[in-house]
Amino acid sequence: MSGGALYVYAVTDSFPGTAPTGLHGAPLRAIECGPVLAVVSEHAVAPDPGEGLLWEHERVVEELMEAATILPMRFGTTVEGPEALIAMLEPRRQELSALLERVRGAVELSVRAELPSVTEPVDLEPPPPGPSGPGTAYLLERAGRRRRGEEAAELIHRPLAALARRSMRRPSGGDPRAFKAAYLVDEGTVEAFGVRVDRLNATLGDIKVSCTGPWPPYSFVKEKPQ
Amino acid sequence: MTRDREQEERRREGQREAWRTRREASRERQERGVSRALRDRDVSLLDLVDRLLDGGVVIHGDITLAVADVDLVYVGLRALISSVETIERDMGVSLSASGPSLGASAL
Repeated sequence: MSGGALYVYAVTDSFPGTAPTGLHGAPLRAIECGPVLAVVSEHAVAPDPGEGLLWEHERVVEELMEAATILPMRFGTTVEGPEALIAMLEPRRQELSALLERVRGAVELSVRAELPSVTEPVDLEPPPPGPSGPGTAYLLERAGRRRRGEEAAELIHRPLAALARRSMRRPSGGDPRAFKAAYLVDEGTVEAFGVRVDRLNATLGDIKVSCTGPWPPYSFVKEKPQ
Repeated sequence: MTRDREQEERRREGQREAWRTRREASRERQERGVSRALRDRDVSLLDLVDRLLDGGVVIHGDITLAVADVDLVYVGLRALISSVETIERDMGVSLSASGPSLGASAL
């Protein structure tokens, strides 16, 4: 279809019989590429970008996830047509099949926390022997804060990672106070994970740990763990 | 035994509730747009943006198609998100959601 575009939602290995509708109510269909299928909808003009489209995209992917094992695509993945799509998927068939096995039966849970230690006064360690001035004290204090932040992050991350198939700390975007992580958790373990988050909130005092999900496994679809 | 079951059902109900809240938030946003008072469930938006714009399978490689103006979406949303995060920090707004919501997907 000339002028049109295929919007790609996910890669899967089984296209659900009762598929959800796509963006703007467009019907979904599957493009086969060997053992993997790409779920797409066709659009004469590109969907209008915006926050609403993010949630709409998420709805489609979540509904697919309820019916099949999927690898979500990066938002906005749009190709010219089936041939272009197959040409891009073909060399990665094996990788995509392996990734589908990695996430089968699991969901992604997101955890955030704000680490308070950095904002609190930090006891300075005694300065080391040798020339020492305000610069040294500053560097020591900064190192101390960073270490305490990292210790707090580990208090959250370690017990949660122990429940997960895989886990990854996400970059905090330059804010040393921000803790962000993603956990790939078996569907049957989601509740236990929630209980553990509750327990962390009960024991960590001023650190508030928040958890959202289940999400499609957005953070676990790269060949190598990040 | 019966009490355990009751507790279990309450827990499940709570999780379903959280799940609904997220979906409703999504629907509301589509209707009202983004300019609203900051609420706890904005955490879901932060997580959504992190995942949709940084995660997922990337197939384009060198072939970048500018069909969906995604770069523009990205820049606009990043600005929105960083302002939300800053507000959260400055106002000490708590990040809530006491546990993962259990959607229909986690059977």
